Amino acid sequence: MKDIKNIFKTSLFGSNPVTVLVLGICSALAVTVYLKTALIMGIAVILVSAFSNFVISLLRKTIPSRIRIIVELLVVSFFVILTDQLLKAFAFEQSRQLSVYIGLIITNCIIMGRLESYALGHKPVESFVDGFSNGLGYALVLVVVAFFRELFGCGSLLGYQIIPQGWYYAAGGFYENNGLMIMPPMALIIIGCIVWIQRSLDKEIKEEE
Amino acid sequence: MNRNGNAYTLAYALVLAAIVAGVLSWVSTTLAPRQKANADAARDAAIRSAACLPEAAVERIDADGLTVYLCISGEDTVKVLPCSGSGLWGPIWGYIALEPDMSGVRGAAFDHKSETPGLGAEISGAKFGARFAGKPIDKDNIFRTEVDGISGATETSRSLETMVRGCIETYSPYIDSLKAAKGNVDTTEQHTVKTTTEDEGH
Repeated sequence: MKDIKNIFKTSLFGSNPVTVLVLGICSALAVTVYLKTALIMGIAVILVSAFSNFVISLLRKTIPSRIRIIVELLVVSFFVILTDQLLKAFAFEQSRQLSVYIGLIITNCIIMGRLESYALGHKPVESFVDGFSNGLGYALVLVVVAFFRELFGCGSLLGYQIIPQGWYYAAGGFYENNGLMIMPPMALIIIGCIVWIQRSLDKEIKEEE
Repeated sequence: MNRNGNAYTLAYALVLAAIVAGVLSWVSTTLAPRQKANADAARDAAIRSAACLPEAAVERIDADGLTVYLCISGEDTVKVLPCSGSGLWGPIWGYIALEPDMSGVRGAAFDHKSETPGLGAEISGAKFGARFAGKPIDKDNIFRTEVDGISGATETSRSLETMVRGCIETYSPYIDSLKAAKGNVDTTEQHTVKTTTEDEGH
């Protein structure tokens, strides 16, 4: 139990895959314009990461070492294609918005990283938890970034208007959505701010000067 | 068992690949009808939004080898032309609804496979499609109007422009035939009226 708690603690904060290890940045920039797409993407990564960790851990004693990476890729692709097919069948609108990024989970360094550094050396259940919590660490950052981008870029959250319509210039008010929030660089700036805040709070992950 | 031997490695790869391929094929075939229904529903919704008839029934007809969608709502029938082109990263496509008298565009809806979210992907929004509403098509069936593109998505906007102009051009014979048919209908009506008058005269 304590182990599991530790796994969650490190992968969500101490060694968060996005803000500390700086992995999976590409998709974090791309799918965080709206909170809803970020949530779906987060769930997809959690599932793919958890299940591929589980399967690779089950197979870890049988995998021929020369084709280790290929076998890992095969398992990851299997779950990614499965997720993509399921989204197309049951969450068509979201699957359209996420477009290529679901497919690109295959190349997400977080997943390969966890397989290599954890699943190959640990038991299936622990590996599942590790994959799940690392996916959760990724999803957490995505949701925080998407929250700010959608709120200030579109004035809405999950598609619901938050900033009152009357505040806008068009309605005679003083407010205007910040177009820069929609652009990819803003995701990088927000992630940068998160990294900055996290490092100034947590002395352990601060690099030596 | 030697885990590093060629035979083991090859057999392992083959078996694993066969299992994965088998399961994925099964999933894909099982979900295909549902996915197709979703895709068709999305297409019909796009056609309806292009035609500005939210409750309409959508029908597909063939006009001299070209596909045309009819959006039928009560008395109104709006003709919607499908178009497709290539965007920055992948295919883009759309539906252009014509005014009943073929003088202009009634509305349009666009979509894309993999344009950049927040930039090129914005062409799929209702806001962007609405920019085409009421824009005239010239007498020679050429769409000369300029419509505002999307800042930050120059390539997608350009391809979309080419696609829309090309589409109207491709359908030019069809538009001509519709205009001609409309002319004929008018003539026939006048003719009938004339005959009736003559009959009364007798």
